[in-house]
Amino acid sequence: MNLSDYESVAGRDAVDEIRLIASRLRGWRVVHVNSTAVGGGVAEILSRMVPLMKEVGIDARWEVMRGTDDFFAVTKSMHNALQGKNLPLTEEMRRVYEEAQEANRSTLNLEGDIVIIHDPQPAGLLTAVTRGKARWVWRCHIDLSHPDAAYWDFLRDRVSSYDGTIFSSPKFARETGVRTFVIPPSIDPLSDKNRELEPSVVRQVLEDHGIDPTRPVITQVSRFDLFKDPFGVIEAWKKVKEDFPCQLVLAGGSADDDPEGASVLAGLREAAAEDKDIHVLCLPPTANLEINALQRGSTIILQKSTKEGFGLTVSEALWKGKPVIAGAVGGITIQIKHKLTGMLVNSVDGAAYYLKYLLSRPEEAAALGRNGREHVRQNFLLTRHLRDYLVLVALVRSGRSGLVTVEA
Amino acid sequence: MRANSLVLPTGHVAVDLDSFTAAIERVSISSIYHHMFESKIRLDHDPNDFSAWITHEIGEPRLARKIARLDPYFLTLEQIRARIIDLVRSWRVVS
Repeated sequence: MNLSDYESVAGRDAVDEIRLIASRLRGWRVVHVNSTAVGGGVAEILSRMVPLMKEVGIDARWEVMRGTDDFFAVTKSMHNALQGKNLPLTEEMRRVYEEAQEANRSTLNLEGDIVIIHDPQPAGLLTAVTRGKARWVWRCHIDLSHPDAAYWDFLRDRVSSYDGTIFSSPKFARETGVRTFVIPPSIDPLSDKNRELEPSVVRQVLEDHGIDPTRPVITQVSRFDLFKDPFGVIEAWKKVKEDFPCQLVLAGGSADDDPEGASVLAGLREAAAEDKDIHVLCLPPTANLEINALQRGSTIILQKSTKEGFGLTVSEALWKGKPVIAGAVGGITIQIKHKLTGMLVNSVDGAAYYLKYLLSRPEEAAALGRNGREHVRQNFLLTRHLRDYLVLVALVRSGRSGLVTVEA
Repeated sequence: MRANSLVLPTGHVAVDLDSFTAAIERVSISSIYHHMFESKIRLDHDPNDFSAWITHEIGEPRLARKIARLDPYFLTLEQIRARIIDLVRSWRVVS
């Protein structure tokens, strides 16, 4: 995939803008560091972002830190504690974390002009020696609004010596004493999860799962997690189906390694057994085309979360031009402007009300879908994300802020 | 919290209303935002860069006033782009 492939979806002007900014940064060495080469949203973004950066003349590199199972157990606790869980942080855990940083300092090639460290796992790599002449920026992809105090103190000690931090939303940010930037995440419009599909493919996927393509379909795509309120979705759907006969699809990933997810899935399957119009689909992580087809084959998409990170599945649904009804939590409120790009709700009754409202007003539903797609085109595509990284590099390099003018 | 903006020459140059509309069609919405609103708010360019240029360089203050009246609270940047092009084209037909 190259940058010109994005012109047809993001717009030629957006692609021209990227090339224009990049022309001022040609040859700059930008190093991205994270802790996994495959799996997870960060690796997914970097696998697309780094080649595009190279294409526009940035000397971009992606380094992946290595760690023992013990290290990743510590960083898993860190990930959960930073997002609000109360967990112990022992001296042994601190030692395991530091040992991994030390081991990686000597094996990773951190030489560059800008080093972008993704998430807490490699955050301790920065020292006076590794810094060299580079500017270091810490890119946080998680919600730090309510962290466990001990874990946050541990992390802040490390990131406070960076030249800048990046958060996905002002809601997720924390004061670190250094310059903070906000760059929202993005979806790739050309990936299997989001690219255009033939109507026949969409129809086939629905039929393969026993869904009737001729009747309205209400879908929620999310992990089987109580914070996504799947039982609330069933309750809302039950309030609607008598007046508006429709089917409900709850599609999510496998829950084999997640005991809570497994019990939620079992509960949903039990509920679905009572009604042939409820379809609970447990799909493998590779089922991107299927998820795409299920979203495209839906009449309305729900994301009735009661707690959420950024919630990029909302942008995925909006990008497909679908009317979306979603919980007014986390990053969802940035993606959905109520009654303009979708509907925000705070209760089961609210979800049921807007399901009835949109099922009875297809033209209004279509308008929300159109607005939603345009909102995503302008704000949540990979091309905007790339542009923001380029602007960040220029701003960090210049050390200036506000309105920064670059002369001809 | 405040916005950081990087302002750099796009290479698009307007010398008359035809080349102006051609450029407006091609630039990104960031350029529209900068010249219509940011220059007014952060650089005190009144009423906006496009209207000032149309008044002083093209000598069409009434067209400039129509563009200055475009309201960002009721229009998206893409709609503003389309309205500017429509206003200029209609103006040329009438005049």
